[in-house]
Amino acid sequence: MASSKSVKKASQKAGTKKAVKAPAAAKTVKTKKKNVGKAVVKPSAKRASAARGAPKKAVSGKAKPAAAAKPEKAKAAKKKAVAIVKPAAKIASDEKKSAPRKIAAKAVKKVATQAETQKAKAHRTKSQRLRMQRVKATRGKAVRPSPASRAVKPRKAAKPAAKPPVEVEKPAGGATAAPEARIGARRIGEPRPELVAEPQPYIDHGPLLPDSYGGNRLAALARDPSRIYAYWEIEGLDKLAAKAARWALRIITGSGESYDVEIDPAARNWYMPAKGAETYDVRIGYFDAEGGFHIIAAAKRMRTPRGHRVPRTRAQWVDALAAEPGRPIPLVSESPYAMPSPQFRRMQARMRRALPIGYGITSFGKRAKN
Amino acid sequence: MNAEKGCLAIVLHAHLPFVRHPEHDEFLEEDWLFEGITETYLPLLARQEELVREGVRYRLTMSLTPPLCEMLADPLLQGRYLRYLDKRIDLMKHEVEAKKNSPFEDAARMYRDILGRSRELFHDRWGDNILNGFRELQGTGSLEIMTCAATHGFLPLMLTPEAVRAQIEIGCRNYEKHFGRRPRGFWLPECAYAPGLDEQLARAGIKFLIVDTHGILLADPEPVYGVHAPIVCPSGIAAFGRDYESSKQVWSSEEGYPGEAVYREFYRDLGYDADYAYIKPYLHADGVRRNLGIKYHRVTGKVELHEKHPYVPSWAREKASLHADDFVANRRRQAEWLAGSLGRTPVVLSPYDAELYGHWWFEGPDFLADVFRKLHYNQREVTPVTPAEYIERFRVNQVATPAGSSWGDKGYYEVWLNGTNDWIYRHLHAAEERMVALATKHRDERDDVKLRALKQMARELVLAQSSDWAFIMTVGGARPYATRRTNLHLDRFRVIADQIESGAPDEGYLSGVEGLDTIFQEIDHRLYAREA
Repeated sequence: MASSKSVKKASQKAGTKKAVKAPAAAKTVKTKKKNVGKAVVKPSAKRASAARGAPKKAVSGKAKPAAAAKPEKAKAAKKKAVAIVKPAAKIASDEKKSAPRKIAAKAVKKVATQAETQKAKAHRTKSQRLRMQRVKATRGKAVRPSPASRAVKPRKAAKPAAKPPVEVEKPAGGATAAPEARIGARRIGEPRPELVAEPQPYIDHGPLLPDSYGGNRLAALARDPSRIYAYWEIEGLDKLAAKAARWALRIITGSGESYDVEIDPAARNWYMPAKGAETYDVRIGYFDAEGGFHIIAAAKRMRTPRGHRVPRTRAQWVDALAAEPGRPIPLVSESPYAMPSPQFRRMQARMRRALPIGYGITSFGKRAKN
Repeated sequence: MNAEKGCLAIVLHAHLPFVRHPEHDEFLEEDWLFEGITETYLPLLARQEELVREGVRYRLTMSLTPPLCEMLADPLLQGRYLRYLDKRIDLMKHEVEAKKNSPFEDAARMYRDILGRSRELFHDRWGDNILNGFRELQGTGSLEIMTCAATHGFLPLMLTPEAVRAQIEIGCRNYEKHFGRRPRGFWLPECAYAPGLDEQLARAGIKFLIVDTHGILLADPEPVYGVHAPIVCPSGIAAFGRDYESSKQVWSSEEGYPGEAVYREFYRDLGYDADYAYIKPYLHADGVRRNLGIKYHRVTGKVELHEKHPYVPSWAREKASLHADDFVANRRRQAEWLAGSLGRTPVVLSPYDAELYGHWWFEGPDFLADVFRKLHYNQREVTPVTPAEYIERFRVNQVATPAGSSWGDKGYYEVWLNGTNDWIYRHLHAAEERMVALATKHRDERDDVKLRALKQMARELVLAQSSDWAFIMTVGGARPYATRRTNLHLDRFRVIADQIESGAPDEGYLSGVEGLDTIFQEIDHRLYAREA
């Protein structure tokens, strides 16, 4: 069971990653630049490597999609899918029309054999081609205006561009997914044609949140007994840059220790080592040229979880039902029970060493590690 | 009773985040609720009713979280569940025909029967609201229902005490709304405890809570009886710790019961196996293949998904009964050993995610019912109890403060605070502070529109605080959806807050958002007001 679960998990994971990638690439010019050389090839290569790579994470090492289990059925499905989507003749005529196909095919050569390319061509749907053209057109526009991509722009790229892939007020989850916007995410050279006709979920990350909330702020949170997470906002960081020789988080512990952790203020957050069961006062500030420390913001005092045992002290007992909110509970003079045996104490000590267990939680669609 | 050696408290934590999208005719994530109802909540309800009918004395503790209760009581989602169910019932009619004379015949009939029975229970018996069933069972004294924080917010990572108080009190009031009395037990979201939380819970009148094993073993001072007796926080709340042994027997995907070869395989689903044209009418409108909950194969062993063997319902049922035998035998041995070495009657508290039973481990509800039957008929050493009952019977307990902990991977807060999700806290904290400031300023607000706006702000804040989003960002599965929900609620919060501050809430916008995020109609924004 473990193997089957992880196998599927891994393949699902690969799917999600890929799906998330697409809109991200469309977001920033920077990303586009990064990818431009690889144009259409990259996602294809990625997909291929994802398909190969995914099972490596799995226990048994060979993930096979459920559909692959029935090659006969899959073949039938493939025929059907192609038939539904488009007659072969139409595909051929469409291919003639689309100029960028040549470029796309060149790119495909890098990852697939000629035979595979032909196969891919045959199974490509209209919307896939549209998407490929769009991707090429926008990439060309942004960073590498080649004659070929310029030629594409006025013709077909305009049509899909009119449909923004992400609408801020539209929830994700597939309800209103524009299937053709996603079909193209299927990779060229994909040898499982029955998937070609099936759309992918629609991804939407919702509205953008403000970059900052104004003013200077710092907060520190305990991640576990050994780490603190701090985040901050500093107003007018650029102006302060002239005065600040270096920036630091000043940490004062409940036991009187004080030390600085040098930071890059532009990072806006930091993980720092800590000790268990300790209180921390964290401040952010900068050192001026003379070495004076100027505090910009202070975090609320926080405490890390213990993470280790407390030496046994004399036990106190109470009647749990005598407690009243807001009042100290009256102690009971002595315990009505016997004390545990040495064997029990030894078992407890063993268990403490094995802690924490970390048996996880489940959620729909995913079961946490255990 | 003289032979009693120990007590066993089985606790199931039932929770789903609030997923309700009236703006769409159908919505993928709403299926979480529908699957939960068919596979977990209805079976748990039905098995308990069987036990009551058979006269079996059992004790089960369940936390039904406020968002889950709100969804189960929501007419829109109830209607959608019936539609979902009818679609599956229709599918199974075809499937029973299609699978005739194949190794899958029995399983197909089983699904048809389960779905038909689900419809009967859900619609005819409980009038579309299964909370009626849980409320009735609680009335028998066999089931104790705990509450939880408003939206399962991760309490130790909140910034202001007001936000923590509001999460606790909104949860308690919602419990009153659905179950007609104040809750006694409080399930800490993700079992996440930090010293000080118990004081806030005590003020809300809570009597007991549950922490993970190390929360008790590393408590201050060290508890004499380990996790086998509750400790009492200085605030007066009893804290129970998770028993390691019984947890592992069920949880562990390697050694645990659910990994047994004859049990149903979760990941091989008809949604992916069936011919696309045939299955398409049963998928969502976007036509993407997804799990349909119809699974014809058994775990088989460590083999590929395509090598799984057909599922045989009778074999699995028999195995569940054998596993119940094994579980009970182990608890008896454990109780016997503890009774001899502990010096008092031990409690073994075994908490699990409710969705493990039925959704992940299909045979789980049968196993659980058999455990209670066997505890009732076959032995006297182990008594099933609820935590509240145990405290009533063994009132004197040691004073100690649990250690900060959670039941997530590595035992602390990292699952909810790491590189994938730490960005949410700056936004959540800013929203908390803004909520506190506005609630304090408008404590005695009388303007109707402004009042509505303040209440909606509180709703948006608690929805954004749901620990599920941070969890999903870490483990994956529905990461874009989790990100989107966080962004969306914080954005709606910000827009309404801006409008209140400008002095003129936009009623049109407000009505729109009120229609979408309908959770907690009873919410009181003054819970966020700073104490004078």
